[in-house]
Amino acid sequence: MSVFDMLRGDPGASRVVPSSGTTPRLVALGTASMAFLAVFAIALAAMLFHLGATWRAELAGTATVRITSSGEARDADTEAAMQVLQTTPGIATARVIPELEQQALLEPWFGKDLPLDSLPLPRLIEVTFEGESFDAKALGLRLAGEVPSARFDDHDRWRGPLARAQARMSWLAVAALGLIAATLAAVTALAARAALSANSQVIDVLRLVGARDTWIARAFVRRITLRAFLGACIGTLAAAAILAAFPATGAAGLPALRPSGASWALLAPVPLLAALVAWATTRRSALRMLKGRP
Amino acid sequence: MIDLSQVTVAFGGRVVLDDVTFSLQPGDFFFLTGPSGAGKTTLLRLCSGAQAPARGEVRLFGRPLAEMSSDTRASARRRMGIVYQDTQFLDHLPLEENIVLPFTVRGPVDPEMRAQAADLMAWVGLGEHRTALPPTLSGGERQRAALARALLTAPELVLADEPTGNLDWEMSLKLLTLLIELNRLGTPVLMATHDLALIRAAKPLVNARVLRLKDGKLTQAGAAL
Repeated sequence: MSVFDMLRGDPGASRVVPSSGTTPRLVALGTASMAFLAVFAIALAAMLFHLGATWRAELAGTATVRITSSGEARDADTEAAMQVLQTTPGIATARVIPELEQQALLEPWFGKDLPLDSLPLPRLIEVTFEGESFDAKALGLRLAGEVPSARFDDHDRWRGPLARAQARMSWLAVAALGLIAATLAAVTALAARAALSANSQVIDVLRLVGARDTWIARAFVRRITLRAFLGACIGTLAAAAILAAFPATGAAGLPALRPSGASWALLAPVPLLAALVAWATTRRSALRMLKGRP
Repeated sequence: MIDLSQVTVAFGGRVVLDDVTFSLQPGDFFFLTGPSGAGKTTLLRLCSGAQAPARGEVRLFGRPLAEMSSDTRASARRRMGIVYQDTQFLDHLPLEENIVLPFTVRGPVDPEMRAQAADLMAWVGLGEHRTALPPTLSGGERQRAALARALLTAPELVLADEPTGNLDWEMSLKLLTLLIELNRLGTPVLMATHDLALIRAAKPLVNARVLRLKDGKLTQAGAAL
């Protein structure tokens, strides 16, 4: 019996199991809860992915040169470093960050009235590369040779930990989804067993008239799977409605949890996957339980 | 068709059938008698494949029960008409749906099958109860309905456990006559009953034999009436 056979249904098999009983309702409730949690896990995973992608995009293809000398030497070193950068193939832009901009960068930590003159701050040059094959290491060595007070930072030491953190968070989201699927499988397996136990007389009658186990299982599997699908639809829609009420833009440098545009489509498979998990576990449990009966 | 060879069945250490050997072949008509608790129902359940023996061998249609899968057992049951003592129905379905159940589990039920069921229901006096739910019927009506269901698919053999237990004499004779007619067409019948008057009534009509069970042992294995 494939999932398509199950969905097509068998009017005979569907009727033989009494429609009363709390088990199918509990399946719907359990599946709705799991789908609700799954939607938030997916939204969180998408947000983390977006955050990581943004961070990587911002750091990739850029570098910073710090001029650590002071006084008159600073201007000369800055000019020398700019000379090196402008004559290096593969560099798209190189610009000295003005003091006002530098002040704005430090404002979140030191406040508005920061006297930059009184602090031993380095001068910063922002560099962008053309393409990904640029040899940042060679540029670093050249700068160190020609301008000893220049410190070249290609952001590599930031990119690595960020990529690792993002990978860990992605695995965490996958693990959360796996746990949700496992819980759903356990709920539906228990529901199948409960439904079969509560209908032992029905099973006896069906066997008496020559029903095969696959046919008997189909009656229970279809009912539980359809309830699981219904519950998952409700849970998904409820979670989507809550997400839709979230702000469309993020705060404190984080992207929004609310999906945007095509990202909403990521939620569409949740009810189908929940129904698939319910179908597979219910069918397996039902057939195993029927096999154990004389 | 059905062969039991030195079969023993025990429940929780209590021996219910002890070293029973029996064979049901085409044309046979057996009355299975004995006091309550003698093992009649267990023997019928063995014959239908619903019970496995602790020792010995059961063969259904030539195949050892022990080697049959659940699907093969189901296929074997489709060739049998079975009436158990506790007439079993799906209480939430109308009587007609219960009667056509042997067809339902095989595939779509067509109007011809429903007409067959209606004829049988009318024959057992339940034509007016097609839409009734089983719990609303009397014990005798349920027993007649169970018999109609068992005979609906023209089974190759009939296993009946006290099918006349709740019936009046007239209906009991009618049922017995039907089973005898089926038997004359070659269908073997194994019928458990403690109604000795019914067995006597059958004597001029059929060449039946009697199996007597006592304390799980066959004390009379196939004596002629």
